[in-house]
Amino acid sequence: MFQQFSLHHVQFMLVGLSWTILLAAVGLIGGSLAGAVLTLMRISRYRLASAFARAYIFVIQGTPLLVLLFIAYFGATYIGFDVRPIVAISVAFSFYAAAFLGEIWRGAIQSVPVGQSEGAHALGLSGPDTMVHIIAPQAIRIATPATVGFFVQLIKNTSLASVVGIIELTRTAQIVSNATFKPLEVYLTAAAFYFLICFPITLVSRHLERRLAQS
Amino acid sequence: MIKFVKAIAATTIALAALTTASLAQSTTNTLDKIIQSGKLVVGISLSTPPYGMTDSQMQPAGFDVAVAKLLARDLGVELEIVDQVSQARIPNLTSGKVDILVSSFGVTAERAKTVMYTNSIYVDEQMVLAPASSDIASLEDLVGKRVGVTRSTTNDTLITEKALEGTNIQRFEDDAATNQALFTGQVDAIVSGVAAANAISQQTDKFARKFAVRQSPMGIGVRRGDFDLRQWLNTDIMLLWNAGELQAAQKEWLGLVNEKLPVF
Repeated sequence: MFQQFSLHHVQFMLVGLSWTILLAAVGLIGGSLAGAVLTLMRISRYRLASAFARAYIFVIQGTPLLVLLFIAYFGATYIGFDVRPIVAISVAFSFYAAAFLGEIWRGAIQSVPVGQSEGAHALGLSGPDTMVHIIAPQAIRIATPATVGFFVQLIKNTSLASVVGIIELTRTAQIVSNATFKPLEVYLTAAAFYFLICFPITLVSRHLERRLAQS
Repeated sequence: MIKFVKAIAATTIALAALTTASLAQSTTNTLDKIIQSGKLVVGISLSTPPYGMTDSQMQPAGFDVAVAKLLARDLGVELEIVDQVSQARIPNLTSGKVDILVSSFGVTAERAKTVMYTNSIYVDEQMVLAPASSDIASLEDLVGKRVGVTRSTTNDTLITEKALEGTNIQRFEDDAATNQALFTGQVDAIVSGVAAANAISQQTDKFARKFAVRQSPMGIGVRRGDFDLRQWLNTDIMLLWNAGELQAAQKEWLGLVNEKLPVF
């Protein structure tokens, strides 16, 4: 009844890996877009927008991702929406990532010395121009390590998606390890797959930091 | 700040009330829905061998899968299996993501507050397994020992309830992890069902069954109030038993046949 850990199982795990990559991509893109909006709201002069962003970040950062997933998937049914797993996950991951990215980017923007924007103002640059040409380039350099760290963490967090029935990498590893009773081999394989996704991102980040430091 | 916390608490309570209210309303006749849509959606955990697992073609297999196939055949509908982790079993059912649970679903009074059970499809025996050389023979012997168990299972409930003061219970994610903990000596004993015990004795003879703790009947889970569906399932369980097909599935996957199944 129990099988040897074979290439067949690795193939099955590769299907799980593609789900993991898809989930990570959705989380990164959705989270970045929503995070950018949140950052702008947070540093906005309009107190209502900034208060909303502050409250949002306060609530979401204090909620475990697993709970968000449960609410997005099971909770939505109770109020009359039948959401598909992938939709629930996209929403939960984007909302979650937005709260963290919004805060990381706000911190980066505000840590650019105030003299920079004062100087830009003295030269007659408009508000948006100051942001795009003076503040953002410096803020991006400051924000890169923290952002990449969060991205890598988010990729590994996709393993929580199995609670809403998506068979991603960790779930395939769990299924295979229960069919073969070889957890060590199976989970090491899964770890290698995760490393293969996360390592290139770290490399890109290092490259980016070096390039930004030169300019 | 206190005002803010109060506001949050009030919103949470309001939301909870709202969800429970709409939950009560959303109970429709699942049996009719299954027949009309021509599809039976069954929640099964595929990481609980030999109940739910995958075969060498990575297709669903196991006792729960075999039972689900028989039920779908007798209903004359297509079978759709939804893989689930054990913590998601009850939420999947109550939120309508699946029609029924055939998921090594042990009957407990606590769970029966949330979902309804059909008559049993299998009665497992929960036992303590330990290295053959160890002299563990009763619950008293487990005091001061590390006992491994799979989280969110009836084995977990059982040992949590029965363990004497001073027993160190360690919970693992799935059976493979629990068994591995026993193999590598991270725990001194584990609590497990007959089937998992068989799986271990297939691999090695270093471990032995020490003593049985309790009988554990397993049933099919349906939503509360779904009496039509429950009645159909009970009827089919009786017919499958009479035809010997339930026993055949027990024999094939669990390696033993119950003499008699509890009816309630």
